[in-house]
Amino acid sequence: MSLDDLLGAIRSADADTGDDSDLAAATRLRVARSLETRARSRHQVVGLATAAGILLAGTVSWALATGHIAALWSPGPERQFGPVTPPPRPPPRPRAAIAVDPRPAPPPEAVPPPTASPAPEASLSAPSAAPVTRPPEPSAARPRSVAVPRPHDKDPPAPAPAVEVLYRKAHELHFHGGDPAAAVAAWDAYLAAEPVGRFSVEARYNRALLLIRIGRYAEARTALAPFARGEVAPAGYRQGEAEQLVRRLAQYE
Amino acid sequence: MPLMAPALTGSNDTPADTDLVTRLRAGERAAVEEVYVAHHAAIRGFARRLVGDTAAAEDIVHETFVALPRAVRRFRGDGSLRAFLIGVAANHSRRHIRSAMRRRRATERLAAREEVSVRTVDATSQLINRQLANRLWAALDALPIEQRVVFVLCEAEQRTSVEVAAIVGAPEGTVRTRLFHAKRKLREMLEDAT
Repeated sequence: MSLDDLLGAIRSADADTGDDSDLAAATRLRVARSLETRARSRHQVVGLATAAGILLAGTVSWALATGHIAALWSPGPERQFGPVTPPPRPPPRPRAAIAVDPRPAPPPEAVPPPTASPAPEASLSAPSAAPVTRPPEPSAARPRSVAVPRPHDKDPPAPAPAVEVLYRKAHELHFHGGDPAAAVAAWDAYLAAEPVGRFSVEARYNRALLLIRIGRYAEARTALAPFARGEVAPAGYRQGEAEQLVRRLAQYE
Repeated sequence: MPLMAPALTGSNDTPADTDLVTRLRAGERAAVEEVYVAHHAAIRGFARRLVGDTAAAEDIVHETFVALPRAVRRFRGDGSLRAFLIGVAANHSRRHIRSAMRRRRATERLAAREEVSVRTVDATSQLINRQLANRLWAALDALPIEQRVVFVLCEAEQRTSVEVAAIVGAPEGTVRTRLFHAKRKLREMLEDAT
């Protein structure tokens, strides 16, 4: 049997196959369904990719906005390969240090207020030359921590305003400066800029103590009177201390 | 990697084909259906002659038209769309040739075990032709697929070597060489069988 005979059989087998219309229609339907399925799958992939892209963009935006992305770029190797940590906070400014310092602020012991000593005449005759020590006051009784509001931890760092500069200067002169008159002037400047503020009550009290130091007793008594009467907010701020001082000052007027 | 890359030469395209190709490239599903209506018979005929199995041939037709929207990107428009489709079908036929081969062998083993003789059942010329065709397809199973495709296109479909070269994307000389080797092997196998 030759190859041509077999080829002839193949060609004639085509003719013997008969009507293919049903088969062709079925395959056409299959093709249409397959194309539809493929298109749907492609749409799903596109949808998933879009969602993933949006999620990624949102995450990156959030990380950039909150500073988390800086932790990934920090030079430390443990930060580059370790878990993402919040970025280091900026160093606290002096104001923040004052406000959040858990230790009690140095009491105005440096100021020589009149005390209940047996010889008040002697001390008042030269108050600046012989500063009178005041008995230590239990820190728990001090409402200072209440009076000084703490800045919110989440406050964004901002440039120091003018009143804050004035407060810082007065604070520095009061506790570390050697010139009480200059410190009084600094407190006056601060209180002029911020008569009612976060530190104005503390500033008024400190100013009154300085007035005693420089011998302006009447002004000091006037300034301390609201504290002695508990008329400042928060009520009771250094009230007991102020009452003692007012009583003592009254003897010298 | 595709079996062959249809790189058609010689412009046989009609304006209707050009329009269809444009729409296919645009992703129109209706264009695929139009191409199917116009060319499915030719693709089906080629697939049947190639694999010798109706079910496998339908699978090839299906895969050819499903793959068309993506495959048409390779179509440069310098040949006929039908020839391009045949090339795509040939590229998708490898797996189906193997499955048809396995089915054919299983059928032969079953027929031998049960001693079923076609002649004893029905001796019509149609069945004899079928038996002869099966003999040729069984012989074709022993050929490399490249030689098999060229043999079917040149001998069963009686296409010229130029056409076949355009379909399979190979030089005309390569087509002739493949055909030569295919015929030689087939003759040897048939001689050995007799």
